[in-house]
Amino acid sequence: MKYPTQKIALAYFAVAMALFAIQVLGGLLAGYVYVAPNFLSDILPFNIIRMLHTNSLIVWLLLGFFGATYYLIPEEAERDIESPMLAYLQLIILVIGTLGVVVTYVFDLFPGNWLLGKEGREFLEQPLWVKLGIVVAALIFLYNVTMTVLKGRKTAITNILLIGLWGIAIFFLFSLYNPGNLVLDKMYWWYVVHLWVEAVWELVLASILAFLMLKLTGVDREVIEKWVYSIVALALFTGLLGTGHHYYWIGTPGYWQWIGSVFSALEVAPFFAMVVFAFMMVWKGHRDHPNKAALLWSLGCAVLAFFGAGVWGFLHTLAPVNYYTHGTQITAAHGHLAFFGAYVSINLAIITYAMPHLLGREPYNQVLNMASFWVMSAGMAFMTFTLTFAGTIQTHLQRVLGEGYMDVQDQLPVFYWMRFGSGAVVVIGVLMFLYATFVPASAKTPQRASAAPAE
Amino acid sequence: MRDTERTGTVMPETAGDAAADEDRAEWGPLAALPGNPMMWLLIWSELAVFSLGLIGFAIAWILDPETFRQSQATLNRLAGGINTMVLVSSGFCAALAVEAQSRKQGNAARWWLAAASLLGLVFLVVKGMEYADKAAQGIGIDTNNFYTLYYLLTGFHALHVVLGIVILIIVGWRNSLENLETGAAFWHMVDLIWILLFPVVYLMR
Amino acid sequence: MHNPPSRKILITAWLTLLALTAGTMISGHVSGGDALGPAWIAALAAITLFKARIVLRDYLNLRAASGGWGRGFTAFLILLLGILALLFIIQGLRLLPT
Repeated sequence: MKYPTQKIALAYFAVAMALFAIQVLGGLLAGYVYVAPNFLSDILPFNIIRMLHTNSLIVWLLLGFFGATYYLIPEEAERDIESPMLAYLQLIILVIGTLGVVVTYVFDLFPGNWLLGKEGREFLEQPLWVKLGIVVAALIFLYNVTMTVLKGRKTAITNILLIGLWGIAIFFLFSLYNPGNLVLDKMYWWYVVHLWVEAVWELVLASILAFLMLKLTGVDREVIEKWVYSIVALALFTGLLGTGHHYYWIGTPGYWQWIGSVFSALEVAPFFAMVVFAFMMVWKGHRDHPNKAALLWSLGCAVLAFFGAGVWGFLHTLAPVNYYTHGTQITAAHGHLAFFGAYVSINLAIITYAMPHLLGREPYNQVLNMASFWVMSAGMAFMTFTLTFAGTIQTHLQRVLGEGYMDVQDQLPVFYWMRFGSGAVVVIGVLMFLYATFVPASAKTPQRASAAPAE
Repeated sequence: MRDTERTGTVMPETAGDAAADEDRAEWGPLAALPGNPMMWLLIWSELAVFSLGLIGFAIAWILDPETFRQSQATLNRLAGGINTMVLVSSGFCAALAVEAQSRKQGNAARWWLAAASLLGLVFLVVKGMEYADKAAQGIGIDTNNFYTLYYLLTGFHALHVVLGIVILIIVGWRNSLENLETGAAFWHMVDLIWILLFPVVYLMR
Repeated sequence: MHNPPSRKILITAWLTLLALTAGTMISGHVSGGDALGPAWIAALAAITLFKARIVLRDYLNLRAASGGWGRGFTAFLILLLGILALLFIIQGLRLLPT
């Protein structure tokens, strides 16, 4: 760690990892409710559990991005963060907002209140006061990192990272607009949800991946920059109009079926380019970096993002296909592998890379960390297959044969049990990762670490 | 991070050219293409989009041939043909601009760019008359599947013509040879897409 | 930097494109409303392939590009126009029940 203010990242990563643990436990709980539908239904209804699962995911991924930014910007810009105090203030605001959200969801305080009550929009349920807090925190953050970059060295990695982060903040503003017309509501809602995960988050992802490749492989910066520019151009070219693939059946004009199908079918291209990029860099690289686990997560990120976001996204993105599969378990399969492959993995990659520096240790517990990659990825892959089969059967029974929704659900428990099992494996993997990251290895026995916990 | 050994092999040129050549070399196989490699990325992306659109058009035709045949018959095929000639002539002017610039005749290059832009405007006027004619008959993008695709494909293309004119003006102002090659490459891509689009949307039946 | 094609090449390319466009308009029966039939559809696709290749080779100066770029684009165009012509011939011959 060359710059003291990189230490800010530690606080962000710690909070992110705590939320990560909560997120997967919430997911496990939701997975259990799928097989035992009445479990906790009076105290914690399924919709609330799901809300916690998805919201904590989004929040911890964002905290991870912020942490990654605070870690890599000083190294790239070659100067300390403008104001560490503001960075911690930003984190405090975000944590208070998160706690407020959890309390509001779980206890349903102030129902219907315009400022304090939850808004009832999937992913954007946050009460207005939390949203405003997020905006304030975003402004603090953008001021802090933009000033740091403006006064320091400007690189392709920081440029793209900043564009991505500014995009995140700007598109979030659409969450404040809540029209009464349900079509317009959904239309602007996707400006946040889609343009985040299928456009500007990809910029953040590409930039962090490029930083990791630069550090881990030792390939020339000039080469890496060209790749990143290409990937980002492809992501924006396909992702922006790809928003249309959410506009098929919500009441928007029919031409969106064509725009959405064509552009979103090409959204696989930037993810494919990321795979080629990551492996080419490792192949051309001449640096034998001691942090093998960070490299594994980086490569895993590229590959799993390609399959989860790219291939599984393409499966049901064409309008004639989506006509049948919309909102079935196919969507859940895609959502799980896409978020895990792209955004969870890149966060875990940068955390795996940065933590030894932040804590002033050698890369430690590497084998356990790498084992956690395989356990988590295997669990997630199995969950994806399970849900894909469940979704295929659901699509056929419900959408083709026209059986009732609940009649079809009654025929799927075997898949939901397997999903619950794979979810438990993912949770084990997460616990392994947390242990490997935060608990110091005993210095004398680095080799013994190869005895990873039995599955 | 540049290793000096590589630059050592470059023949004695001006330092700027050597650096530019090396910068190009880092694009790998893309370095072999004229103009900025990012423009070629855009050219492929656009080709991919319009190819998918045209294949979708052909499939939609098979699914509803009667509607498509009747609707296509309302198009002004002659106007489409004339516009093809306008656009290939415009591309000719843009290519001549690059050729003039390569002989350091910046003024001639600017005149050719102006001619290319002007022909681009002619294309837009003809296109606009076609659209106005359709609008007068009460035909819009939602009339049927044929017109949805007709307006999407030709409309997206027309937007590229507008953007292309803006780009030609910019590279006429900042007229390095690299910029001119890049701007002309965009313009030729617009040309190329119309060449693919016209026979499929207007003529094949 | 790449040497752009000479004026002579460009003039030839332009005149050829104009002539081929006339060919497109004839093959496509610009002034007729009748169906085209497989031969004219194939002719349209072939002429379009030639036109696209001229734009790529002379206007876009792919002739100066080393490597397989020119062949790659040609292969792509053959594939695309082949698919399109095939689809239109299939529908023209009413080979599919509708």
